[in-house]
Amino acid sequence: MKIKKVSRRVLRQNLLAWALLAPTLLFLTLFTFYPFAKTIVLSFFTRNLSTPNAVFSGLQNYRAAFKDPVFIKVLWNNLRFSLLVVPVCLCLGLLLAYLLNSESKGIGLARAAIFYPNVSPMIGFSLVWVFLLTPQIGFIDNVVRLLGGPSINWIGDPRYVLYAISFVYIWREAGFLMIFFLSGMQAISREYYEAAIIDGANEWQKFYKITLPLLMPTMVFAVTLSITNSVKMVDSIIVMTEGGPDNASSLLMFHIYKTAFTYWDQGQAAALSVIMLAVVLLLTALQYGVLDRHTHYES
Amino acid sequence: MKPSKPIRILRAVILTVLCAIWVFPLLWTAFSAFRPGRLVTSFSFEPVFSLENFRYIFDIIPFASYTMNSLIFVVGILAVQLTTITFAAYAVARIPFAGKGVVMLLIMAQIIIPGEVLLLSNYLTLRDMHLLDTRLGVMIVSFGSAMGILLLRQSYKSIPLALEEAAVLDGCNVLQMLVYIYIPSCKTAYLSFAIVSINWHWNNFLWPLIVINSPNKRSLPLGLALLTKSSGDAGPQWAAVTAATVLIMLPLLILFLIFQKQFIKSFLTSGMK
Repeated sequence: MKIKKVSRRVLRQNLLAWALLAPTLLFLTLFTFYPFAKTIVLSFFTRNLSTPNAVFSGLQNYRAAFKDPVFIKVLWNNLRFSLLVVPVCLCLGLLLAYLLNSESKGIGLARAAIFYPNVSPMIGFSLVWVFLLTPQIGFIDNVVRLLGGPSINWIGDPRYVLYAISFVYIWREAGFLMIFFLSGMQAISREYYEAAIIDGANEWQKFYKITLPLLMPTMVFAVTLSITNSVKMVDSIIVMTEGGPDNASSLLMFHIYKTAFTYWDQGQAAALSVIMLAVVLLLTALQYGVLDRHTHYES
Repeated sequence: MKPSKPIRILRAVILTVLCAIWVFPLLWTAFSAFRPGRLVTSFSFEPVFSLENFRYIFDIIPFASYTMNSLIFVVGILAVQLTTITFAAYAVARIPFAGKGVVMLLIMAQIIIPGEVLLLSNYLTLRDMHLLDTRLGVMIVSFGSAMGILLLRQSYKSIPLALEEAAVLDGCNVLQMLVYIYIPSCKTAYLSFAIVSINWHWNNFLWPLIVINSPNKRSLPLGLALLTKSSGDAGPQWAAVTAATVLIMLPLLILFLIFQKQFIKSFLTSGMK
């Protein structure tokens, strides 16, 4: 009798749980797991405008990718971009957090001044940056010329366009990383600093010997986050440069977007997506597995 | 405890300079938005102001319709998300059931898989479902949110079980329990999630760009991106871009300035923007 009652209760709980999870599982399956599998499968098929019905082609798409000079250039661009923006964003984020970690008057306003790009339409500000950087009419160009500097065509010159993209990116991302460093710093007990002051430590020693080591878990998180974000960067490129001139500002995600939705080479785009997925998952694995077991979800 | 005076002054000076650099694009955008188009591109600081840029964008683009679409996207997505994550979070936080480990694993998997690599496949799925160029197509891919579930699960777990047992004794069903106990006790978690979701979808560009073709279904960021593509002189065009940027960013910027602490907390807990 009792067993029957218990098992009915268990059955009811199971039914209830799965019923409550059903909508979530439906949407996650349809728009995350199914497309995930589909992308991997499609990457082994040829499917483009001239071959509308998918034909199995093994590793052909991957081979084609690494033989394509444009893709190699894109990888190289993205590597240069990441090597530039990630250290700059991390250092600036850390510096900003250090400066903003105080209770002075107006500090809230200063924090807002640094963080607001993250609650703003990036499309609008990417265009505003193009405007600011345009030769003859842009504010920055005018100021540089007024000071006797050269007029640089930041957006139109393949030598400089990646820097133009980087400005905009850093301007947004450094403020985002700042909040993680700031919250990490605020969690550090004041006692450490008080003890250090008694021992005669100066400002730099306090930062280098106390703040930085205690920020290591945050640092691991921030490094992974900023590298991953620098690989996913795409919106600003679409409105600022469309990857040009001569693919000089084409990064991985933009290249995938163009392959898929301009050239409609779906098999190729899927293979490129898998390559990008591998990069992102590798970084995530590094973060969770090797570097640290710290996550932002558990507390 | 305070650092010495020279250091405090140095810190303040560096911070002021950095803040000035950071705020400059915003100030320049706001300034240009109220300047006549012909002056915007001429590096002049004549104190001449006008509302012609706002009139211009209302004349050449259906700004009201874009705003409506953006609101539909943001509100529609948030409403469905709040429902799905409430149900799912309750199940994983409070009900023992077979397969819970697998479900948690799937939820973690969605967090790890970057949505960017799914664009093409999701586009093909929408085509098969005949949802391309529909508002539902823009929204449906975001209806489930693993991040939201994890966020809520944490706060659901902190609610004392005794409350739930008392409610069961009073004859509450699950729905009533969620409405009367769980949802009101976890307002902060809901707010955190809502802020990230609203911010993301209000400013989202790429996915609507891929899905939407019809001009009457465009959202604000899509309309904004098209402003530079229209024919006409550079001056009025750039001026229009600044005016549109001001209009689009204003609602969130005001909310951010008022609820700054809550905003930053949301981004901290979700790790997203």
